[in-house]
Amino acid sequence: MSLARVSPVLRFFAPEVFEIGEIAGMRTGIKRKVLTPGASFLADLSPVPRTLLAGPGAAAALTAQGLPLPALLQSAPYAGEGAVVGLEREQFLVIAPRRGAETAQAWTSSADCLVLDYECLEAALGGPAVASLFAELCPIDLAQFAPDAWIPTLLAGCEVFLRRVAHSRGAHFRLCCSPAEAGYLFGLLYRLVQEQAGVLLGFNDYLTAYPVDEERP
Amino acid sequence: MPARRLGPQPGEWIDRSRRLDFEFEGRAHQGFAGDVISSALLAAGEPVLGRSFKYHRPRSVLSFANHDTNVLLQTATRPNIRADVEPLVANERYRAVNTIGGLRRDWGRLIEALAPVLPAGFYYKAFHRPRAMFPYWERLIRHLTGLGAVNTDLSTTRLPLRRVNCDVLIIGGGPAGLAAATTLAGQPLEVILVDENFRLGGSLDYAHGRDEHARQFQQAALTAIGSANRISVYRDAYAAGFYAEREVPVVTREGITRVEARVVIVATGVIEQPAVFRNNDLPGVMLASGAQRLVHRYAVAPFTHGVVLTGNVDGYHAALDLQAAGLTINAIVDLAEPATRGALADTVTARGIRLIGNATVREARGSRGVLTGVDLAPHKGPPLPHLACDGLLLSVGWAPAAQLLHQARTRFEFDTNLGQSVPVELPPGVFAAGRVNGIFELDARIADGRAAAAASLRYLAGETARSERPARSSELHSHPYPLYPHAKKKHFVDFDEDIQLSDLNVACREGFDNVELLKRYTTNGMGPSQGKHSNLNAARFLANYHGQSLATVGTTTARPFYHPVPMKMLAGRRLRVHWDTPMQAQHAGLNAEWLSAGHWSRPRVYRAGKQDERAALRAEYTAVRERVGIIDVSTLGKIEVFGPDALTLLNLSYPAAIDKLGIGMTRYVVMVDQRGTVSDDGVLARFGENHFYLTAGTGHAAATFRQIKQIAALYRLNVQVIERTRQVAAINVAGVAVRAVLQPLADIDLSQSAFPYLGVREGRIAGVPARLMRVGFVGEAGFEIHLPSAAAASLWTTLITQGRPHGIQPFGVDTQRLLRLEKGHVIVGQDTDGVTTPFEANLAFTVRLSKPQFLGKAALELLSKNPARVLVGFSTDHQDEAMPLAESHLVIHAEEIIGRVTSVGFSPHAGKVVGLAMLDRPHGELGSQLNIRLSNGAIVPATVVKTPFYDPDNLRQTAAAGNVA
Repeated sequence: MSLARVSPVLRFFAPEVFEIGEIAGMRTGIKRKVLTPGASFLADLSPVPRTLLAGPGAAAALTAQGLPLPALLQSAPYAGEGAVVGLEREQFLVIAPRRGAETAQAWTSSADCLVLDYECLEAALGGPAVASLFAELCPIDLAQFAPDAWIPTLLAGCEVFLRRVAHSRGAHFRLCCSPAEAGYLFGLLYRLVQEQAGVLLGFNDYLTAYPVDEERP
Repeated sequence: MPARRLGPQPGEWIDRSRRLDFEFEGRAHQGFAGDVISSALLAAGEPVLGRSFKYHRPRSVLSFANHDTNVLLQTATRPNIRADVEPLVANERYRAVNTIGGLRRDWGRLIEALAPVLPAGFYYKAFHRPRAMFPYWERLIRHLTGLGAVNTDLSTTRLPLRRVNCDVLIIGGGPAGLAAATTLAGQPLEVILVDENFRLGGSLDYAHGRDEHARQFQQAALTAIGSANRISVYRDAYAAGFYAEREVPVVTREGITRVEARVVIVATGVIEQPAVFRNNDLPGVMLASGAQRLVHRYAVAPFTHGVVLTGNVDGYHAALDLQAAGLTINAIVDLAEPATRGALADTVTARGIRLIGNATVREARGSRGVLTGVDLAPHKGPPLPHLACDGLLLSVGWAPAAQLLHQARTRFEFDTNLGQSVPVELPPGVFAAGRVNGIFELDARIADGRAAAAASLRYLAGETARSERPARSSELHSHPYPLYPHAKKKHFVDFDEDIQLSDLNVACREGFDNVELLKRYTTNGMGPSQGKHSNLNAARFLANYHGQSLATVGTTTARPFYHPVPMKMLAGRRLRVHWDTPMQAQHAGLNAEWLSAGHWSRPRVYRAGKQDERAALRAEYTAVRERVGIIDVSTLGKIEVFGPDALTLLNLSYPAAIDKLGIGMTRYVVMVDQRGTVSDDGVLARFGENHFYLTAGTGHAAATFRQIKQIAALYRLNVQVIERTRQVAAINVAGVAVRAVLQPLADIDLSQSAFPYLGVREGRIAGVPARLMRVGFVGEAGFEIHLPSAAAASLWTTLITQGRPHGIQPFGVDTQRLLRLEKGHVIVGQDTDGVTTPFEANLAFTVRLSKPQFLGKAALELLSKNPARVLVGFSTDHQDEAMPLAESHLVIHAEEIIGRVTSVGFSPHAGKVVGLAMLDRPHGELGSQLNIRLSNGAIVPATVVKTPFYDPDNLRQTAAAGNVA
């Protein structure tokens, strides 16, 4: 027996509008039945598997798997769009590649490396509305941070990690927050994006709009 | 009154090719694009543009710089339009605010007849008796006061809040601000320049409008700034305040931008101040700088025959400037000896302007509400003749526009040479330049702006050396006391609030001897202008009254905002953060009634249909005690502790003996702070030598996490502390049938022998990886399941389905609290307070003082010896639903408070009301009789009894309960 895992923001994806399905064992909005163009977008990427490795053996565990070791609050890419993020000293977040989500690597704890499922809302947010939206909701100047830096900050009162993605099809943001805050934050962002004639995208809609970026250095 | 538009002026701001039709008080007029409303109205010959707040006296332009609110207008959609700075809109219909029956007729003017009985503070003294009349007076006063009316039928528009970071923020686009900006133009810095006006230049446009040198500087600066791609210019915008970290809200018509700057250069200039004499508010009396602005920017002649009252050289310059524009200046009345003005005195005389020295205006005279002439008063000597005029320009001095600098915590000193306060100690990263810095000569102001920019660059480079700045002006630019009281009054200090010298006199006489008290008693400076034109003169009066210096009297506190900010700018989105457990939808589907717990909402009780609350609570209680209940406890704090120093960290963080906690077991732990006060409790589970998992109270999770992290950092421990409260869900299932519900879903053995009380195991429930802890908060056999958030909703539904044959029932917080009360379990924060120690709350068993070191040890060693209070159980026969016993009711003995009820409820098990009370220790003996005071003052008896009230031998929660099939 295995229970359904659901995205913390599944309720925003109306079955009349979206095909609902599973990505990496988590139910979410897969794609819009009719793709409506919008100036800005919001997408739910929560199903992407994320694993937290912590402890003195965490770095060695990453290296043993051939994964990069990022600096603190930086992300290092692997396997296309997978990333390893340095969250704290001896604490790394491994984000599986979106396209490899179903076959994400299995990790196991050891005496010196604790492995935890890192559940969170991960949302992608882009388009012209985003700058004003972040200016309104976020206390820091995002322009000061390099692409791929993980910026711990507050967004509309929620603790989030923000990451500016420098994609050849258009820079946009990815953000992570806890599942508990997901409904509130995603709902707010959805409302604001709608106010600016934006659309909600399904997981695969986003994947299509922003494929693995071959053009990135 | 004839139209007063002048011929084209060099650099004028109006576009004569575009005429704009508009209405004012029902009369049709025309203005030009580029006009502000006041300039268009004056150009059209409107003599009176507004009515005063209190006495409804006729008013017109005074400062023409947003430093007064004489001209405050209204349209169908907008109240309180500041006509001096608001662009004229085509086809708009304007009317004055605060009138009864229109501007010309305004029946409100009759109030002036009551002026003798309406001195400062009259409303503090009147209307108290008869008391029953107060509501009537209140309604009347509210009706008569207030300015524009808000149209509440309009739809909501949202103005965005923006945030911008920059290296240098320059506030003020006058000579000093422009010089600073041009100095920074070539630098690799993000610079923002903010100015109130539609065009940059400040006083260059009007006070130096005929100075070719000034014009060249202005043009060069504008070119440099315009071509600098890293300078952003905010025109028609103002810096509304100065907050910590150099954050400055900049208000534009499009909304507020919060600018956070590494350096702020304040070049806000000075605010011209009026003189005070009888009828100084008559339309036609205005500040000289205002008249110059009207002429140069809008080509409007404010009068045909003018007189200048001056106390400095600026009045002479203004007279000559306006004369050059074609206006007739009949005379200059100098408060001082004209000979002290040097060659200027000869120049004005040579230009045919009569010069009257050592005199003042005693009274302005008018007809039909507008100026017709002035009566003069010599300081000594023979009387002076009446001067006919329709314009009186005041040029008696300035006050620094230093509000932002004050808010930035700049220290000021009064410069007696200059007659003005000047900044003498600025906070790091803040610089002042120009006239606000006490520098008046144009070239020196420009040099000062450049010097401020250079100092900014050095500051940004980390250099600390003091910067060379131009010397401050040594010439007196402000008359020390331009106040001339008149026996017949009408000598206005504050034009917003109609505050007169006589009002200030009343306040001083009544003992309001402090500038802040004077302000509040009289309301001087409390109107929309926030004292820009009145604070200085009020301070002068107070100083003079008490024979003190202006420096001694000081100034009132300058708080944000610099100008009043429309409410629509301040209204933001309603961001009320809330956290959901993953089972929120399931709870809603079960008709949960919610209880707020910080950001969380928890089900308080589930009421099926219209079920009575008591019945619902009883059903939940019975299910747990007799069958099985299920509760969402995802809100508990959850912290992972891992690493070589994990045990050390937990030993330092908790008073309990953690060393003895075996792998696969849990322990109830209590956290105390440095003072030995209970701050949290929870369950600590051990999964390995170096791996622990602990829970914390719903409201204490963040603080507990912080505390543990701090200890880890303090001792430089090699340990990972990971907060998982909002990532991990938790469900508690409790009751005799718990194993029957869970075992079929679990891949681990839940039997008593394999999984004893206080054990912890990792396994799978319904295929979901989970941690199970065998704990007994509600006093029954129970398992707390911690699992990934994404699967929690499904598991909840599965457990309900699986438990249905066993009579499973979800229960809420109210039932949980009652169940634990029967067990005598403590809720930290409810049964404890900010000073409760473990020894008072029967939690001594959680403390191992023999441990070498832990947070709060020193305090607990002292506190353990003689606890002042004790938490006891009590029972009572009182069961009055209309006046129930409740938490926080006081326990009384011999009319003294000896304690309070911390928890109370009807125990179905005991068949009576039971509770916990924190008592002074002498009163806590078993069997002691207590008197508890109800909310209505009635006293009910209670008896101290032993706890727990339910299952005192813990047989139910520890036994092999559960009829596993």
